[in-house]
Amino acid sequence: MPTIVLADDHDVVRRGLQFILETESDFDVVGEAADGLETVRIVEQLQPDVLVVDVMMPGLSGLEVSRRVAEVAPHTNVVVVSMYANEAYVMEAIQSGAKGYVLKNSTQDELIPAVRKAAIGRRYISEALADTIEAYMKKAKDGIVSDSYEMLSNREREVLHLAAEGLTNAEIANRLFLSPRTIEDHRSSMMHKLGLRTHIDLVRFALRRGIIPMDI
Amino acid sequence: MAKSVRKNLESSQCQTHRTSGETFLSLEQECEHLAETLVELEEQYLVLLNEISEGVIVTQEGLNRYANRALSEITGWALDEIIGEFPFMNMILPTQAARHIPESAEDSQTGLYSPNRFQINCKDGTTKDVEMTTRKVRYGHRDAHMTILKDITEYQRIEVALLESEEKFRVILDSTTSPIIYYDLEGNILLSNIAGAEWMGGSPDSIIGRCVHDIFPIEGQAILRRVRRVAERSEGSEYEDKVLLSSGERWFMSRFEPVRDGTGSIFAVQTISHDVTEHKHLGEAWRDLSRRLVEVQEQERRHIASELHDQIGQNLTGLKMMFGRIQTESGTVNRGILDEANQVLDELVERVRELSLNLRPSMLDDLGLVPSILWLVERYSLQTGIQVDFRHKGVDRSLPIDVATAAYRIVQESLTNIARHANVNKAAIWLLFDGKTLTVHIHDEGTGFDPDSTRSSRPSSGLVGMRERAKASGGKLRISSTPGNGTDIIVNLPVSRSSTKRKTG
Repeated sequence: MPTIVLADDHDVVRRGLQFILETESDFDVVGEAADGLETVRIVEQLQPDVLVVDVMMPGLSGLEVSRRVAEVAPHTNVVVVSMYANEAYVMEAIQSGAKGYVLKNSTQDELIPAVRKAAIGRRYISEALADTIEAYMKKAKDGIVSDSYEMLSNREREVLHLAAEGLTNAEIANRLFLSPRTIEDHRSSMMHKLGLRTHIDLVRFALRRGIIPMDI
Repeated sequence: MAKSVRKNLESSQCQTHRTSGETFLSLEQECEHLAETLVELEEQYLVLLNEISEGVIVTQEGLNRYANRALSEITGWALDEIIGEFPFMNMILPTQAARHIPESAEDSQTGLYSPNRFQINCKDGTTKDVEMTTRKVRYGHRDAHMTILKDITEYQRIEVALLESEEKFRVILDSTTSPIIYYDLEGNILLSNIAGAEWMGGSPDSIIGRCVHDIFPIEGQAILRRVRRVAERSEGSEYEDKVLLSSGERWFMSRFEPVRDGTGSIFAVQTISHDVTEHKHLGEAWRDLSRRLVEVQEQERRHIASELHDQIGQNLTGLKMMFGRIQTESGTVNRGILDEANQVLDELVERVRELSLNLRPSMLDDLGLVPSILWLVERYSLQTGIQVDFRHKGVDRSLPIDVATAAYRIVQESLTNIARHANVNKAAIWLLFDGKTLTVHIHDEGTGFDPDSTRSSRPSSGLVGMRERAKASGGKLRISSTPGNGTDIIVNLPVSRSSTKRKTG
């Protein structure tokens, strides 16, 4: 018989959640809270099996509450309910220690299975998001660049290569059929992205990267 | 005339005799030779007198003894009318005549009267301007006066016209309140209007001829450098300066222009300065205002978005949950109506959520810039079919919310522009945060445009708004685009150390 605490700053939503949970005879809603700090206090005090919390809460957000709960009530598993069908929130929720992520749209069908799973320490993510979360996580990871060179546009790379070979802006402009002013723009943007200040910095970078051979 | 020439020759006769000591001619032969020379000389002398353009008249004891052709041409009187008792002095205009009484103005040493200007009445009733020189001569063994007349009517006319135009120029110069100063290439002041002199703390007379760095030891050097640069490049240039005047601190915009002489070489530099203080203050006020506008707009959006989401959205959601319970419990009773009502509720919730997100994505506050852009890009790609390569380095939650918001809005606006104008299916976004500056670079390889003519040709492009937003955050926005070569929008937003600590983004 899982014990549950409900936290949402909107009475209507709390009532709604309760209506849904009440339909399961073995669920026991032992407490309610209307803001983040109150939630943490009540959970710490009641140590329920499951906390159902809105992602947005005044005082402390649902995600922050989730983090705190992991500290003050390590046996309580958190189900985040959210308006956002957005993978970023799911990721953030999981990172903050939540077991479940349920969209408010589909609470009627998904809240009960989510609470049941959370009660035994298992993960549940809204169906609408479960399929895309992995793709999102990959994309989010791919976007992170450690090599500044990857931050350059093709044009900026061309300018880098030609400048490293010792060409002046005017010569590069001729070579690429662009105006010297455009080259100047690309050059300063490229230098900035690579964190280079002088032409000597640029040549050093080019040497290190093998853009120009060492024996020049 | 001939008599006087002969007389003059009497002395030279002896000289010739002495110097040509080696030739022994008889006295008679010598006299004959001299007389011949004399006649030749007189002939040449008369030809000369009749050819020159200056009028010549010899007067003696109230009679005109001789006049040349030019005098006749200048005055219009025939020579035989002039010679004799013709009252030549009466032709000189009365007001000026007093100054032309030879006896009174004679230089006792040289017998020369310095040249003077007069007006002279001609036969046809017109007047001419003449310059006259009178000299005491001997004529027929007696004293006489030779007067030489130069017609300077045309010269005088040009001179008057020149004076007039100089006067006009002076009036224009002095009536403008903009300081106008001419420098030579050494920085000496050639000319200044009253405003220019006041600017330099003097009157035109007190500063003309002085070197600018004698007047302003420090600023003068800078002015001299500009004068030389403008002359070297033979191209005008504008400079903005803060000047401390008695009325307080003022801003001046000065235009330096090279001035050429008749042969086309630059001999001076003209500067015209305008007081742009008001303009500058207005500009600052304008920037403050637009910054405020951006802030207020963002605040308003955030407020409405959260109102929509937190109040209306949440209440609708609660309502929907309660409704779900009714639906479950009523079984098949009123099934159709309940299903339909449920659908309406779903649509309402969705609509409110969309509205709120479009106004301001709450994830910007909740999760930060990177997830927000990921979300934006995903929706964008779905709607437009344009694939966006999004890469970022060093961008984390330490970014202050106002910087994150500015960056988000600029990315949003740029992506909208790409979808509208660029005609491509690929775009790229790079975000780079080095702890001091957030760099946002939006790139596409689409149709491009001419950034200089954007204001007129693409008013809807939102570039102005983007610029304002960048400026409001103390940042700089640079657009690099050429038709056919794609577009790069690069924004550098400074992040101050104190604001990163706030950790709101």
